[in-house]
This record gives sequence, C-alpha cells and structure tokens, in this order.
Amino acid sequence: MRALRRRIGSTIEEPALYPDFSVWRNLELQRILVGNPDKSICDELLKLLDLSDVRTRTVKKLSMGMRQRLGIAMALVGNPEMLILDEPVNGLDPKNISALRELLQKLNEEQGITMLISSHILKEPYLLATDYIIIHRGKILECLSHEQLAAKCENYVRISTDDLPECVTVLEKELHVLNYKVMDDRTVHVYAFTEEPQRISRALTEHHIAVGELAVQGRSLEDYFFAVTSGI
Amino acid sequence: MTNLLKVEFYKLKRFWIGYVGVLFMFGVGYIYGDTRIGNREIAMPDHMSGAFSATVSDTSFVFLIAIIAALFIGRDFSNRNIGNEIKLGYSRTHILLSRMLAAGAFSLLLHITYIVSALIGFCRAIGFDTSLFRLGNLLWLLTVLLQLAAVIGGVMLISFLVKKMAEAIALSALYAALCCNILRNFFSTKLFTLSCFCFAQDSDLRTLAATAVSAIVTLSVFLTIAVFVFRKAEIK
Repeated sequence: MRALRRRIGSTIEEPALYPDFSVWRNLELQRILVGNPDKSICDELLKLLDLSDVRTRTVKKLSMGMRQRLGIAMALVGNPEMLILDEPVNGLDPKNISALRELLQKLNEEQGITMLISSHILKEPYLLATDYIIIHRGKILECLSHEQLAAKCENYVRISTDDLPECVTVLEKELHVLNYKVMDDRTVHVYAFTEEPQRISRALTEHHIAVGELAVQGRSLEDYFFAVTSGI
Repeated sequence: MTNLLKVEFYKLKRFWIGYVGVLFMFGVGYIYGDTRIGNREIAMPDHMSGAFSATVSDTSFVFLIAIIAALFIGRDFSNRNIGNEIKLGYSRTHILLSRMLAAGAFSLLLHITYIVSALIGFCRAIGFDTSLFRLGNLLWLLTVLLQLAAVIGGVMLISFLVKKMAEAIALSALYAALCCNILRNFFSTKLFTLSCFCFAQDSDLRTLAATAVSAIVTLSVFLTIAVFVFRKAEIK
C-alpha cells in the first residue's frame, strides 16, 4: 500500500507547508520525504511552476496562488503517476485560476499524469476535465464524459414541424448546419444559431415550411447539477 | 523510517530556537561553573569530578528543554505537516519515533551543553584536573541522559495528545516544572528518587542500574500510550 501511495501525489485544500522555510527548502524536504534521489528536481519543478523567482522567499510571505503552485510542486516531487487535487482553485483570483488550469493541462498533456480534481466550482472542472463524476452526500450519482456532459448542458434551437425532411434539407443546404439531431418526438435540435434563432425561422419560412414551435432551449451546468442531485 | 529521520534532522539543523537554547544553556552553565563570576561563595567542590556531580543531576532547566522539544514537535501539528507523512503511507509509529529520536537527541545535547559549559567555567575558575574521567561518571551521565529521554517521552505524549503547538508548549513546561522541580521538594520516597524526574544523585552502580531501568520503563510507557493515541487520532 505504501508503494502505491508513493505513486500518487496530492494536495488537499491549502497545502501543508513549513511557513518559516523557503520555497526551495519546503520542496527539498518533500523530496527527502518521498525518497527521490534526484536533487535537481526541485529546481526543475520551481521552473515548471514559475516559482524560480521566489525560490528563497519564506512561505509565509507567499501569495495564495504561489502557495497553491508550491503545493502542486510538492505533490509532483515524487514523480507521481496520479495527482489528486482537492479544491485546487480555492481562494485564487481569476488570473491565477487560469494559470493553474493551463499548468494542469500541460502536466496532463506533456507528462501524462492522470488527475483527480474535486471542486465545488462547476465551471472549472468543466473547462479542464475529460470525465466527470457527480457525487452527492457521499454517493456517486453519475459518471459521464465531457461530450456527454456537454450534450446535456448545451443550448439548442428546438424545431417542431410536420415536414422534417424539408426542414433538414433547408438546415443543411441553406444554413450549412450539420450539427443537429432529429429526436424521437419528431423535433429537430439544432446546435447552431442559438444566438440568432430568427435566421433559422426566416430560412424555414422562405421555403414554406410550417413550423409548430421554434425556441432556444437548454440548461446551464448548474441547472444540470441541481437536477441530478435532486433526483430530477 | 530513514527518510523520516533525515527530514527530522534536516529540520533540526535549521531550528534556530534550538540554537538559541544551546547558547542559553552554555551561558548559564558557564556562569554556574565559573564561581569567580559575581564573587559567589558557593559550596563548589575543588575538583572537576565534584563540579560534574553538581551539574549532571541538576534539573533546573529541564522545563526549558521540555519547552524547546514541545515547540519542535508541536509546530508540525499546527502546520499540518504530519498529514503529509501520513498521506505518503508512513506508519504512524515511525512518524512518532522519528520525532522522538530527533527531539530526544536535541534535548540530550542541551543538557550535555549545560554540563560541559559548567565544567569549562569551573576549569577557568579553579583549574583542570583528571578526576572527572572515571567510568562511574560516564555511567552516571548515560543514566541521567536516559532519564532525560524519559522526561521528553512525556513531552512527546503531551504533544501528540493536544496536537497543537501552543498547548503542547504550555503543558510540557508545566509538566516538567512540576515533576522535575517542584515535586522533588515534597517527595523524598525511594520511588520518586528512582523516577526519571529526579536525576540520579550519585554514581553508585546499584542506584544507577535501578534508575536506568525505571527510566526505560517510563519511556516505554509514555511512547506506547503516545503511539496508541496517535493511531486513533484524526489528523487533517
């Protein structure tokens, strides 16, 4: 079990640091603790996480964003295969949140590190993750991919018409829309022109297609989350 | 365990309060040993072995040693650094023992500093002689150090019970002052004189042996309870 734990790096909420030690020394202590013999890894991680300039600064003088980055550096010092991050953007300003997001993407793409991120801020994991688990009161309610979640939360124009084939022809040939779905209830969900549904309406009218209903529908990520957690 | 010890001694090397403690112990020991300072007329012996006897069993500053040990151990709870080690899969027993070894070693260093500085002061005042270098004195020193380690075992237990630095320091100071400095004025029973709180008063081998056994038992009890408490504790 201990050997397995060494392959996992983690940072839970605010990282536990030695406030009177410098950034570099905190990392060095963690390196010794995880048993990584590579002494150059501290400097490499400081460079990767853009902390080289504050290498000698004591932790108590760091900003929240720098502490979070140092916490991630400490999680990485053991060359983990997996990273567990609990509320990594807590207390960060938008600039630091964006920087952290880019860093995590880079770590995943360049170093192939698998990440498990827990967050109450729905937008952040949505911009970053490939797969999602919705947990409520300690139970897993749903597991879905990014594409599945996007499909459930995306806005679309709902068209109800008796003349489906003609409607689809107009969408493809006139409006050059390929991103649509014909539903079982004989409606069409169009994932384009959600800001300008009148263009669809105009095109269909010009081709004398009778439209029973045309409306923009969809739900936000929060709405979807509430729906899932309340059992709707 | 090796990595844990490396980390503890790495921290210890950079524990500046500890260095202040060493300087303080050196200072007070030197002043105590050099009877010329302040023109004190104290009943100091005229040979080094006597000066050694006067300082090795002196518990006057054990409370200070306990404070420094509690500070070293307690801050890891307040800073949540212990959680890092638990997350990495180190056993709680090893985490506790590594801290005991580091804090214990430093505590012994503080007491040795006191004794050595007193002897240096004495040498300057009275002069050097070789009466100090007897096997009996070495055994006496080792027994006292064992007793001090047992006292620090109590500090460990307090620190792991309260899990907060400020409380650990306060309670440890109270514990050491009470047990090592105050109670001795009220208890003269054999049990107390053999306990770790009353440092061995002479180099009689039978006394040293009994005292050493008592210290080992006390230390074992303190550490066993501390391990039990730590294993059950929720650490964030």
